[in-house]
Amino acid sequence: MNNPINKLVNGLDEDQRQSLGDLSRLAHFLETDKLPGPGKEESARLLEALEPYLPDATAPRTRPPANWLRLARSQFVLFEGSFWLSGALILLLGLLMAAVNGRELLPLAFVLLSPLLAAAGVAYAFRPETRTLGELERLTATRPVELLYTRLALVLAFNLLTSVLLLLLIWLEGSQVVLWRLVLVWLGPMLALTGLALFTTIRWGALVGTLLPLGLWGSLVLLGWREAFYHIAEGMTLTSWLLVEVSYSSPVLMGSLMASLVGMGLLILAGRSVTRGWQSWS
Amino acid sequence: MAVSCGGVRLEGDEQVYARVRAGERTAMAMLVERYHGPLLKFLTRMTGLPQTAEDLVQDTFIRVLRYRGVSPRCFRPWIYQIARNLARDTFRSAARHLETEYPSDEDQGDEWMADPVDTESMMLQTSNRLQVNALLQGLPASQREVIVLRFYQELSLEEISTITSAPLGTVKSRLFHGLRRARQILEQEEMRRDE
Repeated sequence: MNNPINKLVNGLDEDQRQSLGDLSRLAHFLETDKLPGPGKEESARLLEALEPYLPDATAPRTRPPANWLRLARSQFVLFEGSFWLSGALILLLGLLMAAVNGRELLPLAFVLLSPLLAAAGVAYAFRPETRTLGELERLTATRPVELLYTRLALVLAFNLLTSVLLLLLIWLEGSQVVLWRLVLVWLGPMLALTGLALFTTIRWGALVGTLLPLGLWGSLVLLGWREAFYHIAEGMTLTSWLLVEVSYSSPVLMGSLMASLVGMGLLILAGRSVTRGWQSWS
Repeated sequence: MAVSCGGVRLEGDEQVYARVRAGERTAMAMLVERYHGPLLKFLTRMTGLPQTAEDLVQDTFIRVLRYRGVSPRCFRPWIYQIARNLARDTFRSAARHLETEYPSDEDQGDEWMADPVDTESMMLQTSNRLQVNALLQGLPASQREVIVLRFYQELSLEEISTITSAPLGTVKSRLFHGLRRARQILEQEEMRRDE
């Protein structure tokens, strides 16, 4: 590597080297530029200037719980009124259904709408308006992945609260559905759609992150609808068919468990893509 | 697969940087010792402004120290990339400040370095340094950058590809065309001088 010509042409293809011809004069000419390096004093000055930026080895490596709460509170500003309103509307819808025919309609609404609320919430929380410079985030004490999961936790916590209230309504209505199975059937799609929304939002933006889970869930509902029609033709109502499926069907339960795993995987993948710096979520 | 990050040292830059992140002052001094000179020379050659280059070197180290993300797999191209991007951003914001016209995306890589010097007066320059500087400034910035990183900083083409975020083929092409152009300029100037 000390040969100045080699320093210029190493790595070039043989054709390129031959085409360039004799580069010895150019190499020696370039070599005459001996730019002086910094002196010891300059280096000492630089070190002194850098001293305040040296990471503090005594700083705690794990974030205490109070800091997590503070971080979560700081993210609250990103959720505008429409976000809370949509959750409240779902609850209101649940109350209305409970008033009309709670025993049958409520579980149906719960299974169909609640996962969508979570996915839409994720796409909303990571919409373009909430984005900042990824480079800026990496320079702050809070890591991008911490911000990502904090914001995600806020969405899921709100969704969980709404869902628990809906479940309470279902329980109060005395529906015949088995509650623990209903929870599992809700959890699978909710996690899968949330994971899909998060992963796609990070990789391809909020529009894809909204449309893809919505489309997927819509397709699944349509497929289920077709199945339901066979049973309706046999004299069964749609809601009672759903209650039977939720309470007794093993494939539905297995499918939901699988969906939970896929959802968890996608959530982890989304976190890793931020950690590895392929793409800052913001 | 083991990844080679260039340089043969007892303790690799990546290890030293890990110690810096753990708050070791001696490791920081080691990093400064290794990179202060090379970065200063690189930035001086690219910007043509020694004082700006000195400020940019300090900013580069500050960025490195404040960085909280995952440690880079290869430290050397990473720190050069930071230095290069900082220099580019500085010149872009200066251009914006002066309300100069903004270049198209394709040309943006060329606008952050010193203005080209009249190559005809190259040989009239008094010192070798100024002569070489005049020759380099006569090249398109993207080609100049590759030649400086290759010849003076002794970085591999793969590392240059990482630093400039350009495909390896593009880096080779820039080096090839840059060298051909530099050789032509040199020959023309020598002929002019002989006449």
